[in-house]
Amino acid sequence: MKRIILKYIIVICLLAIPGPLSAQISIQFNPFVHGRTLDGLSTVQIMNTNFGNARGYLICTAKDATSNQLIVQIKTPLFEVRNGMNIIDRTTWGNSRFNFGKSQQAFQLQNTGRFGEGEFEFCFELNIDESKSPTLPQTYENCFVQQNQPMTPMFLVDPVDGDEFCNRRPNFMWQVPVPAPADGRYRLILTEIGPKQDIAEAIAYNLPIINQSNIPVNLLQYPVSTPDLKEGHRYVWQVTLHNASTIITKSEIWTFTVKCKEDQTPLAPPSYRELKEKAEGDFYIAEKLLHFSLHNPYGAAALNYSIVDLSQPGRPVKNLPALQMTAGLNKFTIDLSEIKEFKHDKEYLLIVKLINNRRVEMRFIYKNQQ
Amino acid sequence: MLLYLKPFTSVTIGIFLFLNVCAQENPPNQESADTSAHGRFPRIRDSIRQTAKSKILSVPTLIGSPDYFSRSILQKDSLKTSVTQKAVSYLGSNTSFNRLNLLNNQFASIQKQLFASPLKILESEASYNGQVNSLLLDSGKSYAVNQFYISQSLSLYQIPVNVSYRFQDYATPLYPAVNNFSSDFDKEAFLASMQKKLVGKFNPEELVSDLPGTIDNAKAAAAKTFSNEISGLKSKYGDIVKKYQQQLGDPQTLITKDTKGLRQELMKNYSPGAIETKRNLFDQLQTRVNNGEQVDRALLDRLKTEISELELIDELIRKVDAQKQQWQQSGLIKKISENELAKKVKINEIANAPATIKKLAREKLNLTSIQKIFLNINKLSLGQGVANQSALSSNHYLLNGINTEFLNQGNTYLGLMFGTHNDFNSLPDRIFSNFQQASSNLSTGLKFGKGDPSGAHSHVSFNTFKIGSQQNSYGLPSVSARTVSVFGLDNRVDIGKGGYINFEVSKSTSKFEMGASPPDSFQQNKSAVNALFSGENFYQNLALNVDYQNYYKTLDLDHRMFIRYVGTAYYNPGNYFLPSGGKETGTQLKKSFFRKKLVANLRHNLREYKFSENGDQRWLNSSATVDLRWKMRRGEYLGIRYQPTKMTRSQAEIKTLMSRSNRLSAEISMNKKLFTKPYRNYLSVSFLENFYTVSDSSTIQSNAILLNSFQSYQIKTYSLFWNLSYNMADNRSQYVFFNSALNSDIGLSYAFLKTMTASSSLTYSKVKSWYEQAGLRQTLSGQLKENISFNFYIDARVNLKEYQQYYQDLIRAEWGIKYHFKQMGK
Repeated sequence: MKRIILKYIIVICLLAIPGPLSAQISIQFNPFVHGRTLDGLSTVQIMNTNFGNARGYLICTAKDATSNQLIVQIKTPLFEVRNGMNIIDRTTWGNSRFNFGKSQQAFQLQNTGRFGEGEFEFCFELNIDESKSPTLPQTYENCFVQQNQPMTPMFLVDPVDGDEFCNRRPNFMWQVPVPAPADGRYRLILTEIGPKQDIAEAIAYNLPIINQSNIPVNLLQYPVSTPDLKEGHRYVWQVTLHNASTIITKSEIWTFTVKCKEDQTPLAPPSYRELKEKAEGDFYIAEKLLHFSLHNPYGAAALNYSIVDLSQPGRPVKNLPALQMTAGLNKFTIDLSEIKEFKHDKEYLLIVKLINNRRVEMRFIYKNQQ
Repeated sequence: MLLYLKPFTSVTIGIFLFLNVCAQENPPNQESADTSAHGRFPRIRDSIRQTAKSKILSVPTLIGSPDYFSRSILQKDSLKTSVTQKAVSYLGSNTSFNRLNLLNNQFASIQKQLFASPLKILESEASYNGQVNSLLLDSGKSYAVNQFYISQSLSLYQIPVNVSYRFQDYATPLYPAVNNFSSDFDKEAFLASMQKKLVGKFNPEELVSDLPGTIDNAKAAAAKTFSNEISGLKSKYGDIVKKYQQQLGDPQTLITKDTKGLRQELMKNYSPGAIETKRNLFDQLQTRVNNGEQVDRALLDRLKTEISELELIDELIRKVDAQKQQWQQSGLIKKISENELAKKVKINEIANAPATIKKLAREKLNLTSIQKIFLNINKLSLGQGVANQSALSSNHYLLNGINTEFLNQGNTYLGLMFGTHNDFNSLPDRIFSNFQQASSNLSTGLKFGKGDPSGAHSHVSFNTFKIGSQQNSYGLPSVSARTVSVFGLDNRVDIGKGGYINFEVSKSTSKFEMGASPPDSFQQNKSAVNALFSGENFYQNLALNVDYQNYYKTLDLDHRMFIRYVGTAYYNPGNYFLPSGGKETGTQLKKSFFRKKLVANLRHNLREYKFSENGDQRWLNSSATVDLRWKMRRGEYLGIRYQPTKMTRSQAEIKTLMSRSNRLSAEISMNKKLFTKPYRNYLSVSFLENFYTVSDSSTIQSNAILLNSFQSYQIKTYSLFWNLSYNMADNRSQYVFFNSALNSDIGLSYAFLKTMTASSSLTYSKVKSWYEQAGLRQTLSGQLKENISFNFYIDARVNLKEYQQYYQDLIRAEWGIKYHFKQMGK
């Protein structure tokens, strides 16, 4: 009986003694993921396995591990360190005091909020100011070292910005940022852009035509179930690099247009030049199209006309389209660009022969830069 | 303000109208003999004008008089009936209610005329769009997206305004929705309305400066030479030359006149062949004179004069012809024609330029004060919008607030911006919970100087971004609250027509809020200002951009070049894609050959990144695009393109290749006729080599041949099509996107029921070692009624074979309906 009681006492003592030793606070931080930015330092987690809450403040110090120069020291106000996992809340972090060093790294961090390239040491020191447990140590510290390598920006490759092409199902390609994270994935968004819309607005607010996440490589074939792009429409696209539900970086926004034909001159003419028997001597400029009108007092008939190159009067132009004339006012349009014989900047004479040997004509200069 | 004015003005008008009714003060269109209810109520507008004018004087007199209600006043001639009598007869009879009603209606009509016109709804549109698609972030899970969109074009005091509201959400409460309201002043519509009102109110010729001096001088010289030649005929023909010189008019006009018409004009008093007839007759008479016979001397003299005139006309015409030949050969006529054309183009250009329209509107139109103010406003937007100041200040920057730009007559510019910017501002981003480069902030911006941003200008800008003051829907754990200030100078000089050089420099600095126990605020501000202007670390927080662009007409060459530098400590939240630590240069050349049939495009970008002032590691990136396109008729073309890209790391003189890609592609687009029906064919082939390393030193490499082909054949209203995409990859990988893949669909597009179009197709796709699928695709769009349009799309597939588990994106559907409201206010 005595032996049993003694065993119990020993067990209880053994349990009681480690009590103060097991009740402590640990600091956890992932420098690889969060050691790149100033905001990332706030993701430090404090694990309190103490039996009661405590109050304390955190001092976070970042140094250049090579030169041991101070980059930044952040001192938070007092906050509650509850039992369990604690993170620094927004208000506490916002009220912290930031002291930056004098080095270029410090200047860079202060202005951009990002650490530059190099090896950094992140030390987190938690100072307990108030605790229900008198045996709780006053200070806890943990340091982490990380080689920080900022990534290069992500550039788009194809379709090229401002491109125009006829492919309604283009493939997309981009340059990966380096060093590319092994577990990084890409998301591509393609959407249409309105006539007066900004590219940022289009990407953000227009319903995407392609919204494909989890792309492991730097190219994407046009998804099979996605509708074809429409001719004459303009589109914007952007690629995002993400890791699970964290966006790491975004590319610039590029545009392209699906266009299968070059712009055609509108067939609606500005004016029809009236042919007269008595020429007024002016020159008419025919920009690809020849517009003319004449009044036919007689019945309908085929238009008897010819066009002569004034530099070669004896050789009328061939392959002219056949035109029909009705009674009254007639308006005609001839697409001269479709007839090979017309040369840019040359002068021609249009001659129309009417019944009773009446003859009306018009001189013009043909213009077609293409 | 309108709300306060409305009742006051209404009451005043009511008083005047009432007094007008009572007093019968003879507005011009009032019939004094007409005692009917309508006769007592002249046109409201005239009555207000006339009566208001008279009553302003008479009412105080009337009311102030001790005999206001005495019968003697009522009997005065100036008042045909008294207020009291009128009131009694007006209100006391059985028809008083009708009269009151009539008065009320007219009162309402006044209000309607005055206050209905300020706001007019010109156009409205409401639409709903939905989409069902698989979300590959959550493998195998599909999601639906909804969007409601309402937009209106309004005219507010004749100022065009666009207002819109957008709601988007995933059909699940997991992710928050996106709501956007925006309104902006439609500057283009405003200028278009001004332009429309200016028609007929000015002479467009006045806008254009005189013809180029060389043409003027050449014309004048040519005309002078010709005048001298004509004057030289006086010795032969006498003073009659002067008469015909006057008839010919200004010699400069002869340059473009047709000689045939000229002959007809000068010979209008003579029949054809008159000179021969007269010569014969003269010869006959002269012979008789020589033979000593008696002849009519007057006739003889007259014939001599007429023959001389006709010979003069003939000689004049021959001289004009000869001169015109010379002008033709010298190219003068051609230059004049081209100049006329250029003048027309220039008139068109100047007349349509916003600055011209604004200037003419101020001078020629009777504008309201609001319209005059808005002539000076380039931009005004409230709600969700975009700030686009310049390359180094706010650029494609989403802002929810106010954004405005002023440019007055003196060419003084002022730009203001105030609002909030949030990360995760788009629906696709809502599925993410964190953003490493988060920059939600409260922004303010000021830009001022001379000149329009789109033309030559000199501007100074100052933007502040209060980071950490905004919280997105998820809330980042905590953010280092700070204010980033960006100061910039932006100068652009125009070169020739369309060319320019733009020089911009910018500095940034940060000031931390430090919450409850901030250090001395003055010291903080001083430190921030020092960081902007001090020499220490000067280049670290500096950004520089030089952009040059020009078109060389003689060479037919478009050229653009830019240089950009961004210091390692430079940070501008208003411009997302301005990576710190970068130097970049780029050039673009575009030239055409063979009368623009062959177009060559070259683009090259060279970038260097260094992320620390210490250390020697640099990242070098090079990318280029070389493009040749041969243009044929009817929009057909043949193109070839080469795109190499490369990224290397340089450290201690050792260069390591990090990524490389080479893409060579050819494409052809043809429009032909096949059995008299239109046939379109597009074909592109690409060869791709792709390589890059990842952070764990493994590499990804793939080579592929990509083929795209689109064929369509039109038969009446039907269009047969066959599309094919094939990617032949030389490697087999665990990535579905990297394996050989084939996708093909064949179908028919058609119209039916007059207002509907549809497309039906069979689809087949295969990814090597992953799956084979077949399916149907259907689109439908059209108009249900005059104002209702809709669209529908569905792609449904089944797996014929599945080699590995694949995301079940077997159905994709989209739909939309839009209601377009008719124009109101007319």
